[in-house]
Amino acid sequence: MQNENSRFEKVLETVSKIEAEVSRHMIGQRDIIRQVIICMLAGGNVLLEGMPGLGKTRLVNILGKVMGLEFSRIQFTPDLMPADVTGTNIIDRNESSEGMFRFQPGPIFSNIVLADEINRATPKTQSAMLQAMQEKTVTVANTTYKLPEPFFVLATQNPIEMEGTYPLPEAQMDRFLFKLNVPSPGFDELKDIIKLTTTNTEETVETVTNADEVIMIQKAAKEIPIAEPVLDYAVRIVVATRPDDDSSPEMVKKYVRYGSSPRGAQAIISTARIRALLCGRYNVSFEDIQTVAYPSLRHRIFLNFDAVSDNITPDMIIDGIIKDVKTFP
Amino acid sequence: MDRKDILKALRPLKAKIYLERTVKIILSASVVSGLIALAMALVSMFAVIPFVRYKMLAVILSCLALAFIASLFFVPDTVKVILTADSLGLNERIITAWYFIDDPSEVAELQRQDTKRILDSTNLASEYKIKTDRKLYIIPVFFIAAAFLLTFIPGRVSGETRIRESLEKQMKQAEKAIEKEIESQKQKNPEISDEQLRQLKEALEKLKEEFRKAKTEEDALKALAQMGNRLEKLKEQVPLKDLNILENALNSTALTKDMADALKNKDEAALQEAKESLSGELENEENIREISELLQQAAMNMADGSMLAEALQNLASRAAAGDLSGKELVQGILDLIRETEENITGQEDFEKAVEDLAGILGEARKAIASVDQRIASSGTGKQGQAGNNGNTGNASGGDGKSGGRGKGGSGNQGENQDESGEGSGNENQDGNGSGNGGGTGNSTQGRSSGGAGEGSTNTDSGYYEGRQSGGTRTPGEKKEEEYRMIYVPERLGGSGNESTLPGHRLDSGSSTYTESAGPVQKGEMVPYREVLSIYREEAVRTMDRMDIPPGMKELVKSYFSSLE
Repeated sequence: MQNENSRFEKVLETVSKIEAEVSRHMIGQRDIIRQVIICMLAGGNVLLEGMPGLGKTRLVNILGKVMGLEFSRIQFTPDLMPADVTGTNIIDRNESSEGMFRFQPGPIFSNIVLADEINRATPKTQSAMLQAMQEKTVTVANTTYKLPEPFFVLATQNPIEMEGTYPLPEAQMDRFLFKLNVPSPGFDELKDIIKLTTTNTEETVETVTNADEVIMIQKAAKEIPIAEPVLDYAVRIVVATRPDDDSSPEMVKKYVRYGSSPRGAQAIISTARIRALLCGRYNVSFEDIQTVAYPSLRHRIFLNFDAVSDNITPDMIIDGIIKDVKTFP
Repeated sequence: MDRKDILKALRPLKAKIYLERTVKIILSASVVSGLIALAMALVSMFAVIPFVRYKMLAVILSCLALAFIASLFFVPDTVKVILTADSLGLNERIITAWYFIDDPSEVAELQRQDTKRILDSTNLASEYKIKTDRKLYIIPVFFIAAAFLLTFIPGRVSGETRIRESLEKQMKQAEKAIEKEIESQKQKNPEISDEQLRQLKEALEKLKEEFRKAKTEEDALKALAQMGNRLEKLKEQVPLKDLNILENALNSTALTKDMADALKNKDEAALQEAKESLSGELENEENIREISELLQQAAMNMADGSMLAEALQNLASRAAAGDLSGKELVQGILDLIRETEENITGQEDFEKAVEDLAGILGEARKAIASVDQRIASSGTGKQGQAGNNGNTGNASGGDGKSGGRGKGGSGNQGENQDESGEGSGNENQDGNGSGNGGGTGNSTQGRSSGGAGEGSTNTDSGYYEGRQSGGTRTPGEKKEEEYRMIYVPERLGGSGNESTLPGHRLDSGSSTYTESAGPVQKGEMVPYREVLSIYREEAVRTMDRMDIPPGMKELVKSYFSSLE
C-alpha cells in the first residue's frame, strides 16, 4: 500500500515537474505544452498544425531533454524515401573482410521523432512513417525491428502552403491521438521570446525523468478510475459527432459528413486520465473530458461542403456538441 | 470511507436541492394558477360566473396545494445530488468514490481518501445557491393581481352576476334552513318514523340537486315549488287507508284470512301461527302466484304515489318471478305492514313536519323572489339591462293529477321598457289545472318591480300560450304610443266548457272520429289597452285566492301601475 501510494504520488510529482520544466523554457503555449505532454504520456502521437516559426521543433527538443529521451528530426520533402525514414541494409565488411548486409537504422529509431512538414512527403513515405507509428515496429528486407520504448511521433504540417503537398488521408489522420493547432504568440509572449532567444544566455534544460519512468507513468495512468456517468458523457460526446445519430445536434446534422471513429472515444478517455493526474486528481472529471475532446476529435470530424462554405471549423462543431450534451441528463 | 459517509456528507445539500425543487414546482404552479385566474376574470366580464373571486382563490390554492403534494414525490435522486455536489468544484470526486467504493485497488483507495479530504473541508450546502428565475416570482404575482383587479371592473354582465351570487346565497341559506328543520323534526315531532324522515331528506336532496342546476331565479323558485309539491304529495299519503286496503285484500282469500284476522285483532301469537301456516302453504308455486296477484291488485287499489303500493308492487313482482321463497314473501308482507303501522303512528307528526317545512319553503321563496329587487335597490339597477330582454315568463304544466302549475319568469325592464311574457302549461287528464306565475324586473332608473300570480284554469285552458309585449316609451314621457297587438286567449281564468269528441267505434276495433274545435278557442288580436284591465283584475283575484308572498303582491301591483 505504502509502495502504491508512493508510486502514484511519484507519478503526480513527475508529471508536474515535466510540465513545469518544459514551460520554463517555452514562452507561452501553455495549453499546447500541456496537451503535448498529455498525449505523449498517454502513448499517442501528436499532429501539430501551425505556421512556421512557432516553436514546434523547440518544443519537441525540450520535451526530449526534459524527459531524458532520445530525439530525432526528419524534414519531410517530396523526394524523401521510406528507407530514409526507416533505415536500410547496407553492405559492410566484417573482421575477416567478408562482405555482408548490415541494417542501418533510420532516424525513426528514436524515442521522440519530429516529423516536420509530414504532408510534403509522398504518400508512400507517409505510410511507412504511419506504419511505424501504429505498430511501433519497422520491417526492412523481411526483418522486423522493434522501435525503442517509449516511442512518440510529433508530426507538423503547415496549414497555408498546400501546393506540392500530399494531405494526409483521413484514415491516417485517425492514427494521431491529438491534433493541436499551434497559435501565434501574443504581444507579451513575443517580447519574452525575443528576450530569451536573441541573447547569448544559454539555458540548461534539466532532465526530470527517464524512459522507464515515462513507461511507468503510462501504465499508472491507465489505472485512474473513471465513474460511469463520466464515461457515459465521453461516449455521448463521441456519438453526437455522428450526423446519422438521433441525439446529435442540428449543427452536426447540417455540417458533418462523418463523425468520430471509436478511436476518438479511446483517445478522450486515455488522455483525460493523464489530464486528471496533471491536475493532481485520481479521478477523471467532466472538465477533463471537455478539455481533451477538442484535440481528440477535431481531426476525426469530417466536414461537408456546407461547413467549408460557411467557414465552420471542427472546433465550432465540438463547441456545439459540448453545449448540447448535458453532463448528467 | 463508505457510502453512508458520502450520504451523510451530502444530506444538507440534498435538503437544499429538495427545497429548491419544491420552490420551483410551487412557483410554476402559481404561474399556471395565475393564468387560470386571469382567464376566469376575463370570462367573468362577459359571462356570469358567480363568486368569481372565491373561485379564483380556490383555483390558486388548489394549484398550490397540488404543487406542494407533487413536490413531495420529487425527491432528488442520490446520483444527481452527488453530481450536483461534484459540480461545486469537486470535479467528480464524489461520484467516482461512489462508483468505486468497493474497489480494493490502491488508486481507488487514494481517490477515496482524496474525496474524504475534500468533503471534510467543504461546506456543500453553503456553496450551493438556490437559483430560481426571478420571472417565476414576478409573473404569477402579476397574473393574480391583474385577475383580481379585473373582477372589480364592471363588465357587461356584472349586474347579472350579482343577482346570481345573491340567488346562490339565498339557495344555500334555504338549503341550510330546510336541512336544519328536518334535523330538528325528531325532537319536535318524536312520533315521526325513520322512513318518513328519510322521505323528507330525499326530498331535500332532490331540491339540492335542482338548486345546483338552477341558473336563474325562476329555476330556483321552480325548484322550491317542486319541493312544495313533493311535500304535499308526501302529506297526502294515507298509510292507514293503504293498510286497510291491504288487510281487506288479505281477508279476501282463504290463504291469508287468518293472517288478516290476526292483524286486525293485533294478536301476536295468532299472527305468528298464521305466518307459519302461510309459509307452509306457500311451498306451492300456485299459491305464491295467487298471493302475488293479490298483492298487485291491492297495490293498484291504493293511491298513486303510495309508498306501500310501490313496495307491494315490488314484492309481488319478485315473488311472481320466483326470486322469493314463500317464507320470504310472508316475512316481506309482515315487514311492510309493520313499517306502515309505524308510519300511521307518526303520520300526524309527519304532517306537522311537512307544514313546518312548507313554512320554511315559503320564506325561502320570498327571499329568492326578492333577490334582484334587493340588488336593484342596492344601486346595481343603475347598470340596468340593454332593455331588449323584456319580461319573459313561462308557465309549465304539472302532472295530470295535481293540475297544471306554472310560474312566471323574471324580466328586466330596460330603457325602452320593452317587456314581454310567455307561459305554457300542459293539459291534464282530469281537466283541472292551475298555474302560477311570477315576474321580477329591474329598470335603468334603479327601480325594480316584480310580480307573482297564480290562477286556475279549467279543462279547456289546460294549454295556454301567450305573448305580450309592450310598446316603446321613453321613461318619463307621458305620451302614449300605439302598442303592438297581442294575443288574447279565450276564457282566461274562467271556467271552461266541456267538449266532446263525436264519433263511433267500429266493430273491427279501430275508431274513427271527427275533429272538433280544440279545448282552446283561438283568440284574437286586440290592442294592449283593451286587455290590461282584464289582466289586472285576474291578477288581483288570483292574489286574493292564492297564498302569495306580500313582496310579490307588491311587485304585481307596481307592475300594473307602471303599465297604466
